Amino acid sequence: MRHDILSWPGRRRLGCLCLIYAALTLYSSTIIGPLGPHFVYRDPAEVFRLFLATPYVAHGSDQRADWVANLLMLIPFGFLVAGTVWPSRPAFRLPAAIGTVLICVATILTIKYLQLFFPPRTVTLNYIVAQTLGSVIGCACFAASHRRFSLAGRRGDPVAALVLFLRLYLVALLIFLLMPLDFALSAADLQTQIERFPDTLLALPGGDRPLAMRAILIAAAGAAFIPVGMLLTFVKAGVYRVRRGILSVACIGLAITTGVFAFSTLVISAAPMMVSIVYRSCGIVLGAVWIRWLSRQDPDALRGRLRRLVPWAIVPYLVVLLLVNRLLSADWLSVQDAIAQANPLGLLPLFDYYIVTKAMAAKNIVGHAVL
Amino acid sequence: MPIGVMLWLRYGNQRGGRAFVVAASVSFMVELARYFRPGLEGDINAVVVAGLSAMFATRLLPVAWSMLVALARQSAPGPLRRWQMLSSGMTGERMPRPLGDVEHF
Repeated sequence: MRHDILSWPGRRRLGCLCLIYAALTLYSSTIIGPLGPHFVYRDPAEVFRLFLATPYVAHGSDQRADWVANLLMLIPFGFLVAGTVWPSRPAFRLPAAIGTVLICVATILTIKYLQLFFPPRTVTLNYIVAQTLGSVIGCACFAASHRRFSLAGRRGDPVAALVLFLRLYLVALLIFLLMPLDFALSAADLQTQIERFPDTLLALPGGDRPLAMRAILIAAAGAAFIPVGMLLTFVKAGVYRVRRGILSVACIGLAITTGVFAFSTLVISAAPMMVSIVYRSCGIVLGAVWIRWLSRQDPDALRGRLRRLVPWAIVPYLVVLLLVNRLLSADWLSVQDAIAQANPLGLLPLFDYYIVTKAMAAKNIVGHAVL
Repeated sequence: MPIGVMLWLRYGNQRGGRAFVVAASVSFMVELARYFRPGLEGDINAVVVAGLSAMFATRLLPVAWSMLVALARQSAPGPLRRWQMLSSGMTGERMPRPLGDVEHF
């Protein structure tokens, strides 16, 4: 058994990840633009004067999704910077937190200054505030999780580590489902959301996509809740044990999925569906059944069985992959037509994520990672 | 990610590089094929994302598996079915029965 389950990544590794993240942010904030790379040389002093006069723009609720997405985008950066500079002595932690925020703010301001050399990009105080808040939240998340991970690591209990990971998964899943977190805050926004509510009752996932692909989407959306069902079966009585019954898990799961649906009806950019309560709850029940079954298996025998199943899983996996990508078809283009159809800017790394909303980009990344 | 899972199950740990190459190659072919379908376009970012997620899966699965092993050891063994007894040549008298949970401190 591994005993390094909760060992925190070293500072050097976190530092490398931090630099990669900063480089990607710089690249996606400057090089990528609606017209592709578009650097225009201007006098740096003049640009600096322009930068000092960065305006605050009063946006409506339609811009809230982008503002929140900018906030969310800097949370991992704040987390990684904090992880790189975090001291082991508690006395130095407050200065380290302040240092983290200063590093993040300096990075944000540098990128914003450089953005002025890449028209039509503009800089507003709104997004500087959003990104600074995001980095502060990232730093706070590191401070909280580092303490918790350290405690769990010292305990050396792999089951407690599993529960901790499942809790982190639940938090990540809830944020992902409610993205871009642009909740209706004004009376007018709430009125619009209430008017939209009847559409959610009969809406089905997948829109106008083929039936097989919709079935795969529903299965995947339900499967995302399997770890939640696993988490709900654990009860702590000295140590964590798989104790809670299927019926209790189903009731709690129903409350969670109904709550998620209720919250998602308040998200302006979301497309909630009431039917999601059903398949998400099914995923939770399946997770509970699965962890109860799994906890009574011989792990070595189970792994051997799964190992023998792998060759049989390859063809179904490839069929699903082709189906989801709409490649199971007889209708194909010639090379000339394909070249004529392709957008050359699409070959620019991250361009396809730039031209869609950040919430959609996050969903695309998760979709590609899962497939 | 499924490619990483399958490679880890089949070949065990330390297959991160192979998982990256296989998943990125499969993704590259899929994204290339999308350019030849009317109305679709490939996404070159998917190639890197697929490779990284497969590599991440091979790194994460040993940790996740060791957690599940600990969970299985913490719980009682499942009852043997009649067909399992017959296939292993055990009689009803010799059938082991779970006495309760075994606690590990």
